[in-house]
Amino acid sequence: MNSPYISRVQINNFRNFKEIDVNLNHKQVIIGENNVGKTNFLRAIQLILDQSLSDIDRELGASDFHDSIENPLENGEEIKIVLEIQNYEHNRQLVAQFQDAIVSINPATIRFTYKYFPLKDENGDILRYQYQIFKGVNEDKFFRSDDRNYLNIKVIGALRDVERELSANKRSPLFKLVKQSDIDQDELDEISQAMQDAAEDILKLDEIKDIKKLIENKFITLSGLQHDNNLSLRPYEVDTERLLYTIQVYMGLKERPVSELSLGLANILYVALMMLLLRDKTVPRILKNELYNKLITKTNGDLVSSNYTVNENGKNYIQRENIGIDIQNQLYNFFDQHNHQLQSVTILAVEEPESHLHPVLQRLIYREVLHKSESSVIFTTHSPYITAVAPLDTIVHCRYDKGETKVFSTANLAMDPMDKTDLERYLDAKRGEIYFGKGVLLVEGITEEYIVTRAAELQGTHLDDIGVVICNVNSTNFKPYVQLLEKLSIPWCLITDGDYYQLEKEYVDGKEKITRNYHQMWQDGEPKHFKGIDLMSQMIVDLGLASQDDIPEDNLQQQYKILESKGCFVGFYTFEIDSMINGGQLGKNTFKTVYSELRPGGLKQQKNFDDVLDADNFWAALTKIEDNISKGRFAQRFASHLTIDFVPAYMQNAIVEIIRKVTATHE
Amino acid sequence: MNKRFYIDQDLIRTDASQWEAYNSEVNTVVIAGPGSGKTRVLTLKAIKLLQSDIHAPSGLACISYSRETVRELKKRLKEYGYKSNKYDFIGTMHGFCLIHILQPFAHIFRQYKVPIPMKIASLDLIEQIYNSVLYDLNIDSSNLSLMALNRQRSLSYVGISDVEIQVDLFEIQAAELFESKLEMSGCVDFISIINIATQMIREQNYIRKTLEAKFPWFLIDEYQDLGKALHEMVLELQAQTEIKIFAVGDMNQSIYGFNGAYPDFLQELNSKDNFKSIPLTSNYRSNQGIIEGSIDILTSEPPRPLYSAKKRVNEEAEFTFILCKAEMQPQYDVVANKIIPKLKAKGISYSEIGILVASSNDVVQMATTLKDNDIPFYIVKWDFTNSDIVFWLQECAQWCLNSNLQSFDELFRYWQLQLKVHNDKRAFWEIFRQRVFFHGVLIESKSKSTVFEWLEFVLLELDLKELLKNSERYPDENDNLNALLNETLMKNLKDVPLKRFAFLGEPENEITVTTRHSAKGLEFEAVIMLGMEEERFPYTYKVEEGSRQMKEAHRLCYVGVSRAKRECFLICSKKHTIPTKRGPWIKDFQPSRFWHLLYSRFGNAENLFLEENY
Repeated sequence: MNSPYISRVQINNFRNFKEIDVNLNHKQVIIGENNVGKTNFLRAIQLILDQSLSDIDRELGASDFHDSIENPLENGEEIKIVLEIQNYEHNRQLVAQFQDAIVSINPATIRFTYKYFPLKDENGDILRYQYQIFKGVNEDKFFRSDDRNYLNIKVIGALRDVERELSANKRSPLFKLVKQSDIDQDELDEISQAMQDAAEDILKLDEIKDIKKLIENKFITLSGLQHDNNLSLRPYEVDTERLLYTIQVYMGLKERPVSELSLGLANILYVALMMLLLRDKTVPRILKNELYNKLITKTNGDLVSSNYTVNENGKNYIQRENIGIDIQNQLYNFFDQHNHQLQSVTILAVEEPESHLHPVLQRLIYREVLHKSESSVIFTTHSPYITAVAPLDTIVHCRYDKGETKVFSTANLAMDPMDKTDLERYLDAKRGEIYFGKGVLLVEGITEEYIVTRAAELQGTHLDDIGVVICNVNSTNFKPYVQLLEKLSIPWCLITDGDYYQLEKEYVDGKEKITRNYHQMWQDGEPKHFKGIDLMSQMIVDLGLASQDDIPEDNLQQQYKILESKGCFVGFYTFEIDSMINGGQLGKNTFKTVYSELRPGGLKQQKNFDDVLDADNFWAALTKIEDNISKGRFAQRFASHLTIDFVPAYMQNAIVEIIRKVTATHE
Repeated sequence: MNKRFYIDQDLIRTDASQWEAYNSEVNTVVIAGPGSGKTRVLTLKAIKLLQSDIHAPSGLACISYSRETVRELKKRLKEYGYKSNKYDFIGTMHGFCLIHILQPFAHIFRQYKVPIPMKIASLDLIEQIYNSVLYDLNIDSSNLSLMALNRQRSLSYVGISDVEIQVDLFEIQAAELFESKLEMSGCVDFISIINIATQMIREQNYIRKTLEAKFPWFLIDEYQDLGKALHEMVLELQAQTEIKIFAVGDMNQSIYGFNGAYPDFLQELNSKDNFKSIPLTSNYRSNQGIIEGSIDILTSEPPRPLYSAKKRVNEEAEFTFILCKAEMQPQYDVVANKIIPKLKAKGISYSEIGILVASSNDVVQMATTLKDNDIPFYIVKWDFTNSDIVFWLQECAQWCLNSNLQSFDELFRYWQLQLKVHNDKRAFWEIFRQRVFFHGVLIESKSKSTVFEWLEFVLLELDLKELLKNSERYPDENDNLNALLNETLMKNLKDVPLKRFAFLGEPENEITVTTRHSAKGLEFEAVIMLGMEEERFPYTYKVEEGSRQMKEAHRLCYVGVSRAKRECFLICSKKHTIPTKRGPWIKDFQPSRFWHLLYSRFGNAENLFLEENY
């Protein structure tokens, strides 16, 4: 059963965040460039939920206000952080503990609010600042430290020393895991006694006896005539508590200790142990004899007797493996009701889990965690390997916008399931690079992918330098990409072919039949039809970026204008044809040159190409490129011959526009 | 759990029924006769559950009829080492509905039109609405009393209970009219609070799930007094949740029919298959004579309850019948001048004597006579109500007398809450300033010696009356405080030390004076019942023989007599003056039917007296 998770975060005036309101999912991957506020986003959550913060940590100061606010403390400004939690209603303890926090039942939602605010006297003068955390809608219902026993967050910071954390001490997650299982004290005492007895044998070794004697002698010579200088040797006391935290993990056939592992593996081990530590323990894996006997007398106690079997020594009952989901749920309800252990729910946040990990391992592990873990997990990351495998609706994107950090998430992304699968596959293949762009230029094919970069250089900008990613969607199905980018509020433009066509009407058996004829050249006076315009208009209407009424059917000029204002730049025919026309005679020569460099055949083949080109038979020329070379290969080479004259206006405009959008938000 | 707990646990181990009830792990109804030790079983069970079955953040819900019975319950729990915590609820039905249903869920379920913030209708407003209902229906108060209307309102909740109470269609109409007018006023009252809360539980799964998570067990005391809505609530919880119910009550002690609390509801619960029914038939209070006498009054119809004395096994009951000539005053006088001195001579302490009279007014009269004779007394029912505020003032007084008795933090928290609820300016003060101020007032109040001085000082310094002016939470509290002040200035709390007020609920070698209704739950070596005239008790005007009302009068007398451990006095007068439009009318009265019922078994020439020769 999936654990409770933070479903919404609102932050006002805190550090990077002036005003954000973002919905989250059960698993979250927070991305964004350095220093954009990913850690502060977690910090905001910690102010409410982290048990390891002290009261002093929760007390903020003037420097914690957003930079745009001048003299916050003098002006009575407030910092406010609101968390909403969902999917808790199966957990009886949370339902009981947080009755006062409820704000909605459909879906069941509880809310906690952190406020750093001025305390005013009866005249409205500010006495001092203080913080308060309250539950639900009533500011008198305080959220206190005992509430954190039931629901909290554990943040594993970016700068962590897993080797130390894993070493034998009380903080080690392994020790905590062992402690959780409530091992019988008598058994431990017995073992430690046995160990002590065994250790005593050391003293019987001749070598040890000899050492003792040596020490004694030396001591006597140094301490002179001092009496009562008997020395005795003892192996140190084995206390039962220590016994547990001396348990350590060793890896591999050679049983290497953690200190000898690579940092990467140690990280994996650490995160794995944390995940185990945080799992829902309502249904115990092991039952003590006494508890077992008590539980089987309860209503539905047969659930216990049929799913737990006694172990060899007869002391404990062990849960059977491979219990079906139905029974699991029944067991959950049963133990939720009858086994009164404090079950704290911990949300795990890991900053930069990719640290020290090989890309292949990053993918493996995070695919596992993000898709399968029942605990709610939040990652912050820079790793495209992780974002690539992150489910589409788990992305939280932090980005600068005019001096403040805005946060956008895909939590409520309502996308066609087929599109979603396609898009996830694309992101996976492309390592999720789309998320990391400050702006994205969507193009429909390999040709544009080669050409646009070069065209931008000719226009004076390296797109890479300003963080614009070119994303080739390999079709004209831009919709899911645009949807995702809009949701994350990443600036985008798209470049697509016009795909001019002629409409032909004929009457077959008395019925009107309409055929679209592509690959034709437009002649003066003929009506213009563009598949590119049809598709893009449809898309922006579907996505609610414009209404049908905004797009006048009979005014082509206006249609182009509207589409461009929304970021869609549409050509006339295809890029090649458009640039053949644009390039004039000089252009034709360049085409011929590139063709000659790549053509597999002889001079005859070249002449055929030159002839159709000279005859302005552009479609035929393109067919020859496609048949004999392939458009992609051609574009790859063509890019190096490109001059600004070839670049059709719509492509130039798109480049100008994406640059404008990106720079506008980063001023 | 402390030593006392284990001692009492051992005690109930010897009574098979008590032990069974104590250990029952399923829905249980305990039908507990008088003196059967039900409160002990209930409190022991509460402690046991808290120790072994209920763990934070779940808690125990323990519900009783009135603030007084709740106070008693809390006292008993404390004696067993109970420490109050924020997860448990021990209180009245109204408190439960407010704290755990209306307040947390009103803003989620707006369809129930619960006012936010909570606004309680004042008595004035209720009166106004009542009058406007009368006006709309073109009737006057002789056709429909406010009490009858309220009874109908509390019976109006329709749930899954099969109990049918015969109702008047006209009253139904009036009740509906009242309800809609109350809703329009934007207020709730004590009846609508419970009806709305019950409906919310019935209809809202989330509320049931929350209650289930918070309260695995509901312990309910005095079930017969709690009325229809609570009964429906219990049936809903049983049918729709995994909450376990432990209900204790006694149909035969059901005496609040005028409020709509009929014994039929407990009867229905008792007959449910999914409730284990455990009768407690041992009587650890009275001798067998008192038991049989009280049962004679209760019913002539079989089955006759079979209760047996387990503590006073070989003791004879004593009954005394005294006839006065005329009016009530001679009855008071014979009590003060003759009965009490004789009882005292027999070695019976004041605290073992209970005087049961018909009305609050009679209580005052009786008390005055005792006061004139310098006999210390204790009044169960005062002119003022033991409201939350008055309770808190008493606790403040206790703290002033001995700071170990109350937690200052808790007293302060209540004060702080009042500041907030009433939007008092002082709520903006920093906490420490609020605390220092409140502490200062209480410390200074210690120098005041009488109740009046103390109250006057505290009310003034805290500016409490100003705070409560136009209160939406306690609309009638200022009137109530005035009644309290009046009591301390001119009546039975005049010139008495603060201690008297602080421990108002605990008699200390004092004779108890109470109405018959408020006698429930008390016990005395000797019970003195006044006003035992037919037509007055039972009241017979417009009451048919065999009617619900008549049966309830029998139960009321049964409750009275069964308060006695050993002996019982019945006093009546042959004449009473009745004011009429044409002037006073001196009317002849006969001894009550209850008198005759007892006299026929216990009466003889030896124990029948005229006032002058007793």
